[in-house]
Amino acid sequence: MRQKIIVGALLGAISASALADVNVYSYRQDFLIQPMLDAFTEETGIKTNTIYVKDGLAERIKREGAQSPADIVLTVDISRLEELVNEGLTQAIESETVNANIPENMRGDQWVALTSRARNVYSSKERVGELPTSFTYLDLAKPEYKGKICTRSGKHPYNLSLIASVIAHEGEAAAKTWLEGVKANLARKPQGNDRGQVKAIMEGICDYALGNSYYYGKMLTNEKEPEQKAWAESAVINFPNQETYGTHMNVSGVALAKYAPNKDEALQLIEFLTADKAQQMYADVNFEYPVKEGVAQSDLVASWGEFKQDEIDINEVADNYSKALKLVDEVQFDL
Amino acid sequence: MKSNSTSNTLTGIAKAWPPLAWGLSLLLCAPIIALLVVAFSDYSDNFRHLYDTVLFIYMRNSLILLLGVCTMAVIWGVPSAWLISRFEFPARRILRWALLLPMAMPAYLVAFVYTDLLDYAGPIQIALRDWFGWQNASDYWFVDMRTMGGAIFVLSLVFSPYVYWLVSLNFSEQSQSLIHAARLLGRSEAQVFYKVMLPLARPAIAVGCTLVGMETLADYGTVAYFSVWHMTTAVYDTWLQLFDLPLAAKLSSLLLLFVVVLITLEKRGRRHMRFYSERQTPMLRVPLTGAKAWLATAWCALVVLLGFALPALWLSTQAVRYFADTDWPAFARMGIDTLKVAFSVASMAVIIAFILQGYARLRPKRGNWTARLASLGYAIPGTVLAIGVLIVTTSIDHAINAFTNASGYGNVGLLLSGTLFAMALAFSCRFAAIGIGAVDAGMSKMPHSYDDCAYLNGYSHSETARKIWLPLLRNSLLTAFLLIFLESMKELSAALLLRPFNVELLSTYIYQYMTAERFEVAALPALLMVVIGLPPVLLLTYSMDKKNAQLP
Repeated sequence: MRQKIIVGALLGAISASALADVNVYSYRQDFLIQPMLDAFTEETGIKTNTIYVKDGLAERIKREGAQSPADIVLTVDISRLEELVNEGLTQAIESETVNANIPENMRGDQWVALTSRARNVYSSKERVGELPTSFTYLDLAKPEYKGKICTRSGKHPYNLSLIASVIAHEGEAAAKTWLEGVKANLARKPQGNDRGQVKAIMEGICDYALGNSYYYGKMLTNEKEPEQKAWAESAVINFPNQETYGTHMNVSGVALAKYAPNKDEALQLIEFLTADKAQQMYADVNFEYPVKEGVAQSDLVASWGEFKQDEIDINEVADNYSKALKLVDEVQFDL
Repeated sequence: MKSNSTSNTLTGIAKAWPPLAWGLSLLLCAPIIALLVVAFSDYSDNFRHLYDTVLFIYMRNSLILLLGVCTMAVIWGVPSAWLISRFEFPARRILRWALLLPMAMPAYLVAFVYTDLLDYAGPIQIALRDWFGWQNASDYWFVDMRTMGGAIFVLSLVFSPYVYWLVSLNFSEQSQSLIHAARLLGRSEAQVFYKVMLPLARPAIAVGCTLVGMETLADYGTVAYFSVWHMTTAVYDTWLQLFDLPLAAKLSSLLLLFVVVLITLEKRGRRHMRFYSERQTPMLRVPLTGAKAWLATAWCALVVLLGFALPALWLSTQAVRYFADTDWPAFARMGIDTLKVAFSVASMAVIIAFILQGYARLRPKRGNWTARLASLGYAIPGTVLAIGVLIVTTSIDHAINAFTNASGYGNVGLLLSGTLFAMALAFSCRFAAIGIGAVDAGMSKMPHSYDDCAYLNGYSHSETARKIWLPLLRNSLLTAFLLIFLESMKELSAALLLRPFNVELLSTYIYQYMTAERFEVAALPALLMVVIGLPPVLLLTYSMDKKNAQLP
C-alpha cells in the first residue's frame, strides 16, 4: 500500500497537467488575448495557462485524447472551430449567460464567436477615392481593374473564408470564374500580409487591395511606427456589397474541449469573454467588432461608419472552405 | 594479448552496444514510422486534386530550389574556404570565423530582412526612386525578391557556412606534399585548386550539400516569404487546410524517399575512397599581395556582409526603437529556457551520434543502417515531424495511464507529451543527422589500423572506444555539439506545436510577432538569439584550429 502511495505521488508530481487553473489552447496570439485573460484572473482569481500554436493544434488535442489538459480552445477563424467540432474534440457550451450575450447566428452547438472582422476593399485615396456603395467583391474581376489589385496569398484563412462565402452565395462555377478574373487583375503575385497591401497602395503598386478591418485601426494608431499611419492614410477603407448581401465578416471564436478537466472554471472564462468587459477590450485594444449586442465599437472603428454585414450562417461558409482551397489551386492563384 | 579482444566478437560492456544503437535508432525514427502508419491508414481523392492542379509545379519548384540552393551554397562556401585555408591576406584572421556567423542567424529572419529591404516599398527602392526621379515600377528594373531567385539567394547564404566549414576543415587536413608536388611540377595555384584540392574535398562538399539540401527540403516558413510554393507547401495545405493528415503524411514520405536517395548517393560516391593520409603537416599559406590580396578580402567580406552583417545591422536599427519598452525579465526567462533546451538537445544528440557511429565502426553493415535510419528526421518539415512525435509520446502516455488505472494508481495524465521531453525528442530527431554526419567525418579520418593496434595491445572494444576514439573524436564531438546547439536554438516548427504550457522560447516569441506583422517588437529578441549564437560560432573556429594539431 505504502508503495502504491509513493508511486502515485511520484507520478502525480511529474504529471504535465496543471489542474486548478483554466488551460487555454490558442490559435490566437498570446499578446492579443493575454489582456483579457489577465482581466479574468483579476476578477475571479482563477489563473490561466496558455499554449499558443498556429498549426496542428487540433491534432495535438486529438492525440492527447481523454488525458488532454485542454479546457478551452481559442481560434482565429471559423474553419478551425469547425475542424474541432467535426473531429469530436469539443462539447456543448451550456450557459444561459453565453446564450444571452451572443446572438444565435454567431454560435453553433459547440462553439461561440467572440469577435468579428470585416474583409474590406482598400482603395487609393489619391488615385481612386471612395468606392461607390454599389461596389461588390465580384467587381474585382472586371477587366477595368486589370493590373490594379493587390492581395496576400489566396490560401490565407482570411482569403479562403471570403472565397468560401462567394461559393456559398454564387455557386462554385461562378466563384471559379470570379477568382480567375481576380487573378488576371493582380498587380503582382500574391504576397506579404494585409498591412503590406495597404503599403503597396501608398507606393503606387496597386490601386485596390483586400485587407481586414482591424489592421486599418492598428496602423492608424501605431505611434511606434508612424510610417504605418501614412500607409493607412493613403487608403480609403470600403465596405463592399452594400447593395447586395453585405460585407463578408470572419470571426474569431472559442470552443469548450471535450475532456476539459476544469470545466466549471472554463465555462466561467467563456462567459467572461462574451460579457461586456472583455468584449469592450476586444473592441478598444484590437479594433475588432464585438459580437455582443450593446457593446460599443471603438471610436475609431465607429468613425468608418455603419455598414451592412453579410449575415449568412457562418457554418455555411465553413462548409465551403476546402472547396475554396481547391479553387485556389485550380486557378493557380498564387503561382 | 587477451584472447577475447578480437575485433569480431563483442565482449564485456561492448555487448550492450548493438542493442543500444538499435534502440536509439528506433527511438529516433519512431515518429517517422508513426507517420508512415498514418500515411497508409486512409485514402482520399485529395491526391487526385493535387495531381491535377499543382503537384507537378510543386515538385519542379522543390527540385529547382534544391539544386539552386546547393549550387549557390557551394559558390559562397568553397572559394572562401579555399582562400582562407590556402592564402594569407588582409583581415583573414577575422574573416575566418566571421564566415561562420550566418549560422547564428535563423533563415526566417534573414528572409524577412531581405524582402523588407528590397521590396518595391522598401527603403532601397524608395531611395532609388527619389534619387533618379522614377515615378513607378515601369520606369526601371529592379531585382524581385519574392521569387525563386530570392529564396535561393537567402537560403544559400544562410546555409553556406556548412559548406565553408566542412570544406575548410578538409583543406586544412589535405596532404601538403601533394600540393608541393603539383607546384613543383609547374602547376599554377588555380590548377592546384582544381586538380588537387577540389577533388580531395569532394566528400566534404557532398556532406555539406546533403545537409544544405535536407534543410532546404524541410523548410516551409522561409520559402513562403518569397511566395515560392513547393512540396512542403503541399504537405501543409493538405494537412492544415484540407485536414487530410494521411495524405500529408504520404507526401512527407515522398520527401523522405528523396532524402534516402540523397544520402545513399552521397555514401555511394565515397564508398571506396579513403580520405585520410598517414602523415600530415599543417598547410603553409601563400601570402597574397596587391589587388589579389584585396580581392580575396573583398570576396570573403561580401559573404559575411550579405549573410550576417546586413541583416544584423538592420535588426539593430529596429531593436533600438523598442529598446525602452523591453521586458527584460521576460527576455531573460526566454533566453535561459532557449539555452536549456538547446544545451540538453545538443548533449543528447552528441551521445547518440557517438554510440551510433561507434556501432557503425564495429559493425559497418548493420551500423550504417542504424545511423541512416536515425538521420531521416532531418528532412521532414518540423511540424510534420512534431506530429509523429506527438503520436508516439501520446501512445506511450495512454499505455501508462491504462496501466496505472488498472493497477489502482489512478490517472497520471500526460507524462511525455506536453512536456519538455516531447520537444527534446522532436529536436533530436531533426538534428541527429548533423551529429551523425560530423562524427562520421571524424571517424573516417581515423585509420582502422589504430583500432587494430589497440586490439593487438589487448584493449577491449569499450577500452578502444574510450581511450582511442573519444580523444581522437573530441573535436568532431565538440563540433557536432555546437552545430546542434545552434540549430536547436533556431528551430521553430516543432517547438510551436509541442511546447508545454507557459513556455516561451526566443524562436517562438520572434515568430509570434513576425506573423502578427509587428517585426519591430521581434527585433530585440532576434538580436539576443544572434548574441547567444556567437560563443558557439567562436568555439567552432577554435575546433577548426585544433583539428590541425589533432592527428599525428
